[in-house]
Amino acid sequence: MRRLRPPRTSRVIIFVVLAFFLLWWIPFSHVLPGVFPLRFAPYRTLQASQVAMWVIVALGLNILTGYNGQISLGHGAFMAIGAYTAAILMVDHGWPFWITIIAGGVLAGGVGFLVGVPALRLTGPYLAMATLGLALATPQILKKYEGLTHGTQGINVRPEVPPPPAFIKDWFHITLSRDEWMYLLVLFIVFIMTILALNIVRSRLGRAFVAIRDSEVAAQAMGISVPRYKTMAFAISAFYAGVAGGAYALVMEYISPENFNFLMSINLLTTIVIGGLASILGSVLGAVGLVLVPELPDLVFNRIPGVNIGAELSWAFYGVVLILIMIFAPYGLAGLFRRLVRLRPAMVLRSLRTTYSRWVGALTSPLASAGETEDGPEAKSSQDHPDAER
Amino acid sequence: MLQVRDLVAAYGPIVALHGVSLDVPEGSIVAVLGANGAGKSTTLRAISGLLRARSGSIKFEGQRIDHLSAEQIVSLGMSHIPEGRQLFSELTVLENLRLGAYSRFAQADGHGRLAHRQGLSLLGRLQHDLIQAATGGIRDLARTVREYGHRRRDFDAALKQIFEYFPILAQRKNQVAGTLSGGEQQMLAIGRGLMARPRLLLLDEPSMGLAPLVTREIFEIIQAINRTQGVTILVVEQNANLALEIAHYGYVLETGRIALADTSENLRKSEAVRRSYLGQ
Amino acid sequence: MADFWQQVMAGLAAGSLYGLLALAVVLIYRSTTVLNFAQGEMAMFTTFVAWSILQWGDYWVMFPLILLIAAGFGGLIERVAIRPVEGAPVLNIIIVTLGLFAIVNNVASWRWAGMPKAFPTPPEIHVAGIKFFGGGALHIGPTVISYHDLTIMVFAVAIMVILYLFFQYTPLGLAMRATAQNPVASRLMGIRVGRMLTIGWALSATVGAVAGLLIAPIVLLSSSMMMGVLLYAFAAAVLGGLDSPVGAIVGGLIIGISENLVGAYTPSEWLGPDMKLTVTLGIIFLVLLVRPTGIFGRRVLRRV
Repeated sequence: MRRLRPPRTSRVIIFVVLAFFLLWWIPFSHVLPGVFPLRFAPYRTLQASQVAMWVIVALGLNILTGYNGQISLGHGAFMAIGAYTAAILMVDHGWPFWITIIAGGVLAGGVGFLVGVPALRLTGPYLAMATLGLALATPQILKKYEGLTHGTQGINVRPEVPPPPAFIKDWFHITLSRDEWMYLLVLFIVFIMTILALNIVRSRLGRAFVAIRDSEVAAQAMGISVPRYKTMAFAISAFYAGVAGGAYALVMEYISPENFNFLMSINLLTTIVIGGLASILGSVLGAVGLVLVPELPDLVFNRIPGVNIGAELSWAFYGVVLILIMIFAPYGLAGLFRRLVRLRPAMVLRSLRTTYSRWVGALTSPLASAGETEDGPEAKSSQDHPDAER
Repeated sequence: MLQVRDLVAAYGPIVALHGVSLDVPEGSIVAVLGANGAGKSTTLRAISGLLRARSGSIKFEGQRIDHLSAEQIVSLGMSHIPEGRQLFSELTVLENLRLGAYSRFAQADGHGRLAHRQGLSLLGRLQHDLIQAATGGIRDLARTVREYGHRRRDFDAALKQIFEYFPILAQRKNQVAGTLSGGEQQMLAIGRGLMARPRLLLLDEPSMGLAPLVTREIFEIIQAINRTQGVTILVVEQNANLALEIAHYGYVLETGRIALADTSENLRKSEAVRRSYLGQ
Repeated sequence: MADFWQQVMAGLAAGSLYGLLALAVVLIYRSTTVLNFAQGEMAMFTTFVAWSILQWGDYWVMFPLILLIAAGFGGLIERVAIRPVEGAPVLNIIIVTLGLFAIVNNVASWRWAGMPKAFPTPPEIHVAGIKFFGGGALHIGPTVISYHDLTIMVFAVAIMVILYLFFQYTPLGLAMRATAQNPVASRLMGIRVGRMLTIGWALSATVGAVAGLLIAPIVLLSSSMMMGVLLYAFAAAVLGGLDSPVGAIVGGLIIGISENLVGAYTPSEWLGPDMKLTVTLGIIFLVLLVRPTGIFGRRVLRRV
């Protein structure tokens, strides 16, 4: 088996501690009242937990689609497996939550491997459609076999959700609400999964994945066993989705077949493309985007006087944002971030303007031809490309 | 016929041509030589409009073409046979040739229209573009219908000529292009380029991947095309020997700059060329 | 036994509709290798527009106008939303179509809010002595099939044939095929690649509009009417082979038939009508295992 060597251990530890502090302590601590008066409404805490949960599945899906190049429109199914396994084990059999999440992940991973085998035969849109089929079939299957899954009435997980353990109150003198404790738990899971993902991506495994994505034939010629790694990628990403599913059950406290319909799977794919393919940062940013973009009209735009994007048009707003991001940030939000970090703001503005003017030019000039690039094929935003950061 | 001055071209941050200037006199064969990566293909791509130049000027028959799109340039009488042939590998030989003729009739219209447009003011151009967009399709269709008979005969005649140059293509008329041998594919590529009735032919590494005998055959045909039809030819080649044999003039490109420019005879005699490119 | 054939006939009729939308999907896929997730919504939108303008005139008089509007709509979308991302990885363009899905759907339900509306079925029309649409039914052997359904099937097949002829035997069709295969070489032939793409989208939108016009009378006009159909259309397109218009129609017919048969003839306890979709998808999956690019799809030979 491959050795999992942490990437520069000390850096990771610092990163973990710092991020933990930033992501939990500051927003949610009441330890330093007056200094950090940020105390989010419970609603926001729930949203934060949701973001964390989507990060997990996004990480997995990115490994499969971003790094390994296999498009899956069916990861909602794996999430469902994880969620239902965890829920059934908790509610019907009284298992402790942390085992059920792992069990859910492992089971999902197993199914992922099984799916990965026939998937070897399929490529591109055919694979996408086959996995979409999986996503479509999931609610039907869940509803049908109600002996196991409780059918359309769903499973109420709430009674089994663990309350904040006593030691936190006793040792740190902090009273956590249930939501905050849940967030802390999921955050912890996210950290582990992120470190795991970072490891995978930077290891031989990750490089094999990328090699296969870029050219299966060449990878094979280099001695990489393509079938083995492709199925492994499926299994790993399904494992992530399963764990995220277990987290879903805990966070949402109730699951039902309709939650895991094809829309969820499509949203997942959108998340990683918007966030940035083949990028850990991209998975995180995408998950944040998934939860925050629907909030944007109220949070930002409607505060501008005269602007009123009513709730009836929020879906359209979402669509517009999606398209704009694809036009101006082809490598996703992570790509944009990379661009911002690397270049000076003036250059970022200039390249945005070029894209915009090219778009307008294409609109207004009938003689404008498609397929012609300014400075050659690779010019456009090569600096955004994830591989450029190495 | 073709005048290139101080051409600078780049792929993103990588500058490939650092100010290339060359002339292609009408009716001649001009060779551009150089090692891999010298910028030969880039030069052709910039001339034919596939790649937009950063700066410099390209004049074809006295008219500036450096900001035109590839489609427009083709309609002006220039045909580019790209590196690697770029055939429509899933279409048949005949279909490939048919596509080659696509721009044939656009030439007369294109040239006139373009010249007309260049002489207009900004407002005039916008008006011209709008009318073109709205009615261009229909007018083209009408013209196609009107001239069907004439075009059919024209096409058949052109096809016959191509088959004279490349009899093997006639045999393989209905075969899928991807199944032809390397040499046959190159012949098809050249034939397809000729169907557009170009006055200038840009050839990018015609010998690539071909066996020596086949290559020789193709070069002989290229020479014949130049002699009998007066087609001006700009050929980019790594095989300096063959290229200089048929060319009248030659340029040597080194890392994006013209290192040598002379008649092919002088180049063949020059010490530098002999050592670096002719293996002597 | 009569019931069996009745199911088959019903399946053929429904399948023709899936096939038509699948045809629209295939048209765009062929020219751009993009799966247009907004296909259904575009059709739905055009149908709503049709609903509005049908007040002004006869159905068949307005029909060509509707098709023209659909074509314009498709071309417009290509220019505004697709052109800017052309050249980007396929996934990006698919996300753009998802964005379009959201936008078109939302705008439609905002503009034409309210209860699902009744949409007129195409009225009877006689062309060259043959009756299309209209009431009454035809008796073929043990089954009865309405003229309406029969016409739908004929429409689907006819459109498929017309498109096949167009692509195979006209210069424009050839140019479009060339553009799909090799845009760079196409430009060197003087083909305006951008225009080909726009035409492709316009054509696809038109076919989608026909599908919408035929589906709306059955399921009632609402902003969600095409969502389910779209998924079936994708399934049909994949089953038949994404680059094959013939495959799209055939795939649609197969799905239509299999759905009905599964619903009627499988045991209810562990399959039955509730699992219609699942079983159909399972069948498609199995077909894909044997023919990874669909029944009529072409194997793509890749060079290293």
